[in-house]
Amino acid sequence: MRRLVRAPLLHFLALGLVLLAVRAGMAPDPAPIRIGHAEIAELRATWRAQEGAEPDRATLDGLVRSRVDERLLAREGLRLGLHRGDPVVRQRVVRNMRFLEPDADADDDALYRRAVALGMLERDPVVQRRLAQRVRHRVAAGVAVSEAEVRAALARSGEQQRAVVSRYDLRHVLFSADRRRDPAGDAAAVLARIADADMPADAGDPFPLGERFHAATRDTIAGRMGSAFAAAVAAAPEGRWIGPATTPFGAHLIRVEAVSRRAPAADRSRVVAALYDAADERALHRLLERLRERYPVEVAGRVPALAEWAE
Amino acid sequence: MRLVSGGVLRGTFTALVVAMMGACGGDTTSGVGAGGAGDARDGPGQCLGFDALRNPYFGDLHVHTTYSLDANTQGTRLTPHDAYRYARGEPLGIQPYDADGNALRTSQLARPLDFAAVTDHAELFGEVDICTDPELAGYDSVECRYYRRNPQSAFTLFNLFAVGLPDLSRLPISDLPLITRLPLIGADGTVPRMPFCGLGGERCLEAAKTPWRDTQAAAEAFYDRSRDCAFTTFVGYEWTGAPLSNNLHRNVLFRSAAVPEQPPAYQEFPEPELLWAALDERCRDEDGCDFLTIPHNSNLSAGLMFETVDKDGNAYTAEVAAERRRNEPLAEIYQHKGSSECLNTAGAGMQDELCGFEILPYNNLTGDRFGGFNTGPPVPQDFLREALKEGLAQEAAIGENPFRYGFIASSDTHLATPGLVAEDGFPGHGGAGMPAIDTLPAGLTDLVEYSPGGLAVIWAEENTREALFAAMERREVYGTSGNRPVVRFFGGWDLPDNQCGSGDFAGIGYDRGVPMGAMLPGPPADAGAPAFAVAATRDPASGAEPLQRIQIVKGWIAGGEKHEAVYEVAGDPTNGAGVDLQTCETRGSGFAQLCSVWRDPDFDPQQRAFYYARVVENPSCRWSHRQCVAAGIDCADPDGVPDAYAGCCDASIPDTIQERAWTSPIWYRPEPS
Repeated sequence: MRRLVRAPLLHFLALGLVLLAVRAGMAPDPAPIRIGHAEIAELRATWRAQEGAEPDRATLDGLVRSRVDERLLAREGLRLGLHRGDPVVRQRVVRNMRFLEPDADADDDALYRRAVALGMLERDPVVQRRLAQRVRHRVAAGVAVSEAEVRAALARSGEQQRAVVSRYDLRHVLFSADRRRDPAGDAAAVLARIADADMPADAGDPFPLGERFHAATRDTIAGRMGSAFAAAVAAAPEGRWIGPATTPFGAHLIRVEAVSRRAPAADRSRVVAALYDAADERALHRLLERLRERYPVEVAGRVPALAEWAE
Repeated sequence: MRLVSGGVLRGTFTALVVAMMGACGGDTTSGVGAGGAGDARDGPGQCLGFDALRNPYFGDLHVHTTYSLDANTQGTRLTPHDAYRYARGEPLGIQPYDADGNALRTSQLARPLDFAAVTDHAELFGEVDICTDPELAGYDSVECRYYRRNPQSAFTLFNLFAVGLPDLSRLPISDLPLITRLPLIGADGTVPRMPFCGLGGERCLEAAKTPWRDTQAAAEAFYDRSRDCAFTTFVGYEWTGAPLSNNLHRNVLFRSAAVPEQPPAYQEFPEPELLWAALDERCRDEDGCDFLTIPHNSNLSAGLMFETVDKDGNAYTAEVAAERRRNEPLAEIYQHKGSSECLNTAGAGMQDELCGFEILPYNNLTGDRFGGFNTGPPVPQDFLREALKEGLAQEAAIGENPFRYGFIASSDTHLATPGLVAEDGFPGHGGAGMPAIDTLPAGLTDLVEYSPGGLAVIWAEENTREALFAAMERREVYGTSGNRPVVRFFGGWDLPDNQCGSGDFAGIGYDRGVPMGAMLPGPPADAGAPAFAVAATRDPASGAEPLQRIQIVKGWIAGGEKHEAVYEVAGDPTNGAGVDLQTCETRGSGFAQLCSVWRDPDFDPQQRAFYYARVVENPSCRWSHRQCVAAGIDCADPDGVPDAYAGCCDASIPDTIQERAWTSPIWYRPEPS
């Protein structure tokens, strides 16, 4: 019974291998990705211009490797046809052609076709960057992160130190700029008079929408009262009248009743974004591995696959 | 499967949300988003900022991103994820982009928002996705190639084709009943999609799922489900019905993450009643789904938005009127494309000088595009004050009020920048305004008659979807023209005259009255006139002006006639505040806060009525005049004014505005005798 099952499967696999071999034999070798002396010199010059020093060997190795990666991604983008209909690619090569042939009266379509025939897509650095970028986007779009991973990451980040957010319960008394000539002076006089005693119920002026804040963050308080008031609250000791703090409403005496300090929850969106960034990086790495197998890479003066090249 | 997002943020959360929804069966409170152990909320009342007397939360409920065709064709590449990042205060690069895909402008909110909803046009979700993703069948269709080459005219074409022209039933030829049901709208009552959408539009409907899921994923990712309650999102979309460009648009907001798999769109559901029926069908209570719809730009509906006829042309019945009221508690009173409060050029609004605020000079979405063809001057019945009066009349006639609208404002941004509503530095709105694809056009940053738009403010106990949605349903909301004044408004039979100085304005308001958006309870036996307590504090930001005054606007029905009156209840309309038009410096004093308890001197217990408050700032320069001043435009020398700044010298556009807030109304209904 087993043999019966196995035999056709083996046949099928064998046939597949044969077909693959034939196809491999027939397909032309893809053109290699070439990084010549001139391009390496350009990479060095750019580095020098930006950093003010010659790149060391490891740096130059990294620069070449990034350039190779970008070429590989752009090559993949071309293979997938991502240049078709891409407005950036189109605009760029049409602009190039108009520069090259300022007198040509061909329309955009014709210029675009000619540029493609001339191999401009493979050579133009902007097109190459754009295609590489679009392949990166595609890779990112195919990545998924599971809810379990998100939960694990959230738990991990929960153990890390986060900036503490304070929330304030507070009372304040307004000395209204709408009603008084010297609200800050009036407020200071009241503060001096009461010392640490209770605030008299009739002190100050009504402030129907502003008299109470409960568990409000500094940002919320600043949004309603202005940043000077919020700063005074943040600096105030608990349980004592302080002031006056000046706002567009007038002058205020403030008493912070209670402060709760607490690290906010991990920002889920940031945690998820970081997970996706890492997953993208892995997926891109896998793609580049495959592309390096698919396309031969030739770096001028370098023994293939190793960072050795002539000065 | 998604649009290029300019490299700022990819929308790769789709798979995650799909997985989550699968796992939770659409359950809305599945505990996702917990920040750490013990930090997740598992019910109401757990936000750290909870206040039983309610907090004002500021947000934007009308936001377009790259998924909207009209934003996309104007160069907007930002996604819903980007929009929420922006709402939370992060800086973002915005259109136009250079050849390398780098944004040429950046923008950041001075103050983050508390909530936001991305509301992209559902109608062309699939069409846009297909035309911009080379992997999808249809990408190489004639229509898509046209779209990519000529984004500008494609906007008009796609829109006319999909959501405009076919609906001949709305042609203003009412004497020819035959024409109203021509099969142009499709034998099955739907509007045909573009040919590349395939039979029955299936290809586009399928493609539409991708942006819709991404929209949900973004809302999920940015909704703070911890006890901090720092930010709330709503899943939403815009139903984009505009027969012959007469605007019937509605934003649809969902209460939770449980939403329909496909958002009912105009093509398949070309009437508001069909939309509500589809939502009732696809958004069921037992699945944890709930929705509301918010109409906007009634000012551009050419008389359609508040017509009291149903989809078959019959007068509203009590049943249809009640359905509308149930589904539509709120309307946008102001946004980017003008104000819909009241009209100053015709009808009763001519008596109210403040009705001249941000009035667009035409009556539908065609605007000035074809030199006046297919549009006309704005008409009073398209404005909310008039509609509210009509609602009272309907209630008297058929027993139900279809137009019991509370008010919000929003931006209608097409740059994916919620809350970007300041006059100063207004970058334009993309969208139906100025395109900015690869260069920044010179001159004014938008059509001169457009404006930055406003904000929605919601009074709720805490900043959660449940609390905010409940507040929207009870209409305890107000709109502002962009600044952030805080406004309370209560009505009641027993509000004390000293409520303003009591130290417990809100507590008394809730105890002895009802808040904005509510219906006054029946009067007690010996009641006189109802009292209305209104209090406002100025926006403390340096760019905002002090308050000038508070008015209460009353509308009522007497003897079958509609009436309205505007009462000055606080502040000083003649405070002499003004603006130096050469520099935009403001002058004169105003009020940091205003408060008043007002009793209706003309109250008649037999008359249906509504009351809302309008809080008005001192004048300041309009966005356009700021740009004109900065560019040194001198209208006294017409030859020296560049074309791109011609709007500066358009005498019909005011140089100054008075920023303002509109509260939702409080209604009075006589007891049935």
